[in-house]
Amino acid sequence: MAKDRLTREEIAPGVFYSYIDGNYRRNKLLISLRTPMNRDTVTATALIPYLLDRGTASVPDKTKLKRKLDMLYGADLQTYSSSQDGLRMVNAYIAGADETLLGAGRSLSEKRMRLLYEALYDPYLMNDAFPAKHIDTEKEVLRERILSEIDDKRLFCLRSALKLFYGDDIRGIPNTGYIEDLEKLGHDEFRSIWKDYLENSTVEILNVSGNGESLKRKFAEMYSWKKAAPFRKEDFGPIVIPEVRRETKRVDAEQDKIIMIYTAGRTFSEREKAALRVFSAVFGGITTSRLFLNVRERDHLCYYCSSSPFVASASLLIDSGVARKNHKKIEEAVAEELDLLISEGIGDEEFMFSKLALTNAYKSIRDSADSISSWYLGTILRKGYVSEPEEDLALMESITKEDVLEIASSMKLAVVERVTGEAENA
Amino acid sequence: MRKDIRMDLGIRKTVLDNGLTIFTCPMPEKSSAFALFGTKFGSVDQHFMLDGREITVPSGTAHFLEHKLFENEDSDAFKLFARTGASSNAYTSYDRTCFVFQATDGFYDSLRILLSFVREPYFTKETIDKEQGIISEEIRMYSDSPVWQLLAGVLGLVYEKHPIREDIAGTEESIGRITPEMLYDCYNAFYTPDNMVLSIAGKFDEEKTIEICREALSDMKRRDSKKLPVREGCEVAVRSGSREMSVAMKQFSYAYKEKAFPVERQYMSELYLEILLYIMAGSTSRLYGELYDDGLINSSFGFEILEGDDFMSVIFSGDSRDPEETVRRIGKAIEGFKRNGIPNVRVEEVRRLLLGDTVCCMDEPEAAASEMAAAYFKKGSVYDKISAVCAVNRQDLEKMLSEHFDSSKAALFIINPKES
Repeated sequence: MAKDRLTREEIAPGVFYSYIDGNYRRNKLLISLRTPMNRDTVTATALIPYLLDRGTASVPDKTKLKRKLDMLYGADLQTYSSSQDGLRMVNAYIAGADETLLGAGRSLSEKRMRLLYEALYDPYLMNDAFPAKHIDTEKEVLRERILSEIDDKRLFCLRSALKLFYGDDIRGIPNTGYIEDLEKLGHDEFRSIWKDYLENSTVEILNVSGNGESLKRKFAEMYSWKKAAPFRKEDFGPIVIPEVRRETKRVDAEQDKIIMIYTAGRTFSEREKAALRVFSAVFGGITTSRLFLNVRERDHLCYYCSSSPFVASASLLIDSGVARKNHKKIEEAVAEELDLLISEGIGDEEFMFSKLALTNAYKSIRDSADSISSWYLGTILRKGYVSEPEEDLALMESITKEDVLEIASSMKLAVVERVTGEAENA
Repeated sequence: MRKDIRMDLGIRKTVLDNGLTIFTCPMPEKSSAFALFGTKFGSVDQHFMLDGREITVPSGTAHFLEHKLFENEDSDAFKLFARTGASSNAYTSYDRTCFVFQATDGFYDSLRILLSFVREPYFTKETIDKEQGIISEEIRMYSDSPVWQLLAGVLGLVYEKHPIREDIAGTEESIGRITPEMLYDCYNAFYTPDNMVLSIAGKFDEEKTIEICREALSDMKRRDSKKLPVREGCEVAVRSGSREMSVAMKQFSYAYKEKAFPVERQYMSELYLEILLYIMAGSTSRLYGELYDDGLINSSFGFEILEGDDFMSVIFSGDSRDPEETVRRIGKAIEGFKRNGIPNVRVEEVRRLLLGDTVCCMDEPEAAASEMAAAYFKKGSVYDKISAVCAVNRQDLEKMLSEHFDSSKAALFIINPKES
């Protein structure tokens, strides 16, 4: 049974507050605003966190704001955008040491809370808008960030593969937005998108600390202005890819990065998602998996070749770094390993190792404010309700070899993305 | 320590009769525990004495040894850990090698596995040949990383002959020269109780854990071994250099070559230097704000202190449209602090920041175990850190500032975007 279960309730229209009174030395308070993903506003919403970081109404200077956070015993205030399953989020959190250990008194967490709220809802503005100079500076920073995606070849390959996988589907819209939209984004348009976002977003507050009830009352007062009811999350269909999509991108690189995406082309139930997680562990997720032992250790085809479950899209992602001469062999080797797993079945030992590794991962989730808050936010966004780690662990434990083989058999190669330093005509 | 700081973090230090140090930090409220077994033996340790013999090994040997310790004659460590469900790993840096695991159930079995495989070296020519292919691919992977190439590039400029200028994993050529005898020599010289630390944090019974450690480690013997220092001059070898890579914008790394702190004062001195750097160039500094607003840096900008027993560099790095101007302004800001001193208010801000950070760090088993071990490798402890942070003052910082950051001993390395 869970040690500390999450308590979640709607404290104002479209504002959900959850807390867990765990025993943490580092506390965390997170506010996540969400709306349906929108291609037209994704770039503006990617820019919002950069502007929120520039200061608040009471501390209208980025450097002074950070110094104030230092005086609050190194409180860590971060703002960032994210996207998941067709949802668009603007998030902010503040984290810091437990005040009782510091001997700093109970007022510290309330100060942090007010600063967090202010960062999101009362940022530094001039004439009710972000200062033009700040917008221009941060647009340039975001532009540089988008362009810099090429710097990390492994991530660049992953992002390219996902783009290929999703095509025009709304779930494939990049979190950072688009350079062409950034260049066109005017100050007035940005202001209007930001205001609209604040008014219409559903709010999820997660408090991992020792004073859940008192902060709940304060948040309820603070959000008394909020009128928008929570929106209903759209159910998306599966990504169906009849023919394998292939792409090669040429960069200056010593080692090829190859991402393969296998997909079932249908939507998975919660049980099937659990089976996909076990399948991934057996196939390439841990150091006793088929890909690690056979492709890396036995055949020496690569430095890394691993799999990860991509549950929302009923897919499996294979990530590898290989010598250029082996780039074709790796694709064949992965396909061969999958065929062998389906035809020969799963051994008792590898099945047990995979389940033990997953059990270890689930049981560790409560060990930090970061991991437990990510878990809860993830399940709320994905499922629309709170699910405890122990519930998913129990479901995973009930998965049989047959369940896993059924998932494995349903997987078809959909995408092969290669990032290489090989010349065009080589 | 100040009276208003109530930080009993529950850390206990045990030293076995043979000299092996064990740090434990029980956290009964957690579900997992993290253990780190490390040796002060890293990529820079290529020249040493063992039982009266002088030994030189190729670059990449410490990292190679780390890989090979994961397998013995009958089995490999990954498989043993898999039976307990633990997640295991290892890493090598310039000055240390660490083996780690994290476990919820089966912690004691996992601990026995960790303490056993690190103590059972098994190297043959065949197993070495096999590993060379995998490590060659690892070397290629890092050669594509701008972050690593920036560091390697600037260290290559700053140092003339110190092994820190060489890649941690070595080169394909250097690892091709590694023999089983070399690995055994390194193992015998550095995997010794007086050169190692075991650090454990999380959910475990402290007495039972110490007992397991005593049983498993008490027969470890000290050896007659000694690292031989590298004679490296104070001047930088080359002042500037560059290369091209597939990157979106220019990236720079600017390093001041510094004299290493005396070994017995490493931990405290490095902490003070870190405080100084944060005040001068951290995200709350005027320098940072101005560079950011002028479009010269973005959030990738940062600094680090790279220090071992016989080397030290302070390195600033990040993306920049104009690295030369950025570096000019960094130098100017440092000179300004040298001239005008450090405001007291900034000292108090950093003091609070570090106290808060230390508490936060001790909340997670992995971070706590790593912090305790890192302090040990620099001859300090987490409690020393808290005391030092409480006692830090402007005068000490200004004294340290006056002794460092000589711009005539600095080098700039730039990665330029390659035209596609």
